[in-house]
Amino acid sequence: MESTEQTARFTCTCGPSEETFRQIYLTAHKSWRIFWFIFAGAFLIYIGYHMTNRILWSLYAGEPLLTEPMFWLFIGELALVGFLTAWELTGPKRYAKKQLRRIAETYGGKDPIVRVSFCDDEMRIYNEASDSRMQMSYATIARCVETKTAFLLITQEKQFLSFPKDCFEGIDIPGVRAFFDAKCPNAKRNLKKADA
Amino acid sequence: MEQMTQSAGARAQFVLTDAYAREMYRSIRPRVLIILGIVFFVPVLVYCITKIAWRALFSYVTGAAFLEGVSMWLAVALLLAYLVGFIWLLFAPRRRAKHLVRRMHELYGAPAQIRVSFLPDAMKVQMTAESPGISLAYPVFVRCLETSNLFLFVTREKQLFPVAKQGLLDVDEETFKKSIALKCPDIKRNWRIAE
Repeated sequence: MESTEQTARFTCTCGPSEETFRQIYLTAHKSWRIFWFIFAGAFLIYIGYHMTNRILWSLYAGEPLLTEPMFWLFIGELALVGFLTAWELTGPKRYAKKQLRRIAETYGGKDPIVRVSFCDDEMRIYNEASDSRMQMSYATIARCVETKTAFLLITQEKQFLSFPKDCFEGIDIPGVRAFFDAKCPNAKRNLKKADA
Repeated sequence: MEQMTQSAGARAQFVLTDAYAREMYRSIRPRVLIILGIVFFVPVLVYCITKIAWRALFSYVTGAAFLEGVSMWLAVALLLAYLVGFIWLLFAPRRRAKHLVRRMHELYGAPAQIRVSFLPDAMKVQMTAESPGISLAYPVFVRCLETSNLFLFVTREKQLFPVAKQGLLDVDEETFKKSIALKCPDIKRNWRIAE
């Protein structure tokens, strides 16, 4: 452990939190969520337009609305899209809670504090709860993402490493950005500008 | 480590290969969902195919446009959605298995060599020889499945812990099953009947 700290440029010590997992979910599902909300919005406009027409027509012509199959089809579609949208909106919270429950199950309720040492050639990850160590090269990082509260490193196999901004020791936030910029030159980066 | 080995009942050591991972995911396919899917979607599928075939014949004989009318578009869209969903589900275990093996390789730099020790009160899992591993108390398991090459332990939070039959050390399969039945008497098991 000592040798790890000697060569480390800076470290990050953090445990799992609901916010971390929320950020991971939001980043991983960003494209899908954008697609879904555009689709659901367009669908609602379409259904809303047709339903208003039907209701107005039935009021004007005095035709019964509830016996029309199309009306119930619209209601069914509306309910389905509404349910799926609600499911997607609650997704981050559900995912975060599930991951926290899994962690509690795996470590028997102990909080697994992870200490990551950022060295020049690799990251060294030490899990206090299981007393395990592993190394990860910067070459495996395919994406660097900066959110409001954390930095996320995403590997080629879509594994997420999350580093809350307030958990870094020995460096400031612009320094972390510059470090990831330099160490992961081939990764797709959406880090904020230095003055952001 | 030595202490752990001494007190361990059964032990297993195996490499998590693509075939094992595929078998693992196949054995936990959501069967209820699949049956519901078949029950609900087969009538839709039959309707779509009949409609499309009838329309194709009609358009061939009369020269009318094939994709005419909303219901025809709907039938084609439903059929395509069903086929895509079906193929997606069919290949899900293979896809997940590949993904898992690649992730393990990425994390540990080599195919994951899993060591499992069945201690008196917990199951100890090590992903590398150096790591002390994690201990899972037996009450966290809710299901034990037996497949042709694996014993699969499923936790309350749906985490999967496979044990390869070929990787069992010191014990045979029947003894292993008996010892697990003693350690987890309340969990749902589908052990095959010994011949």
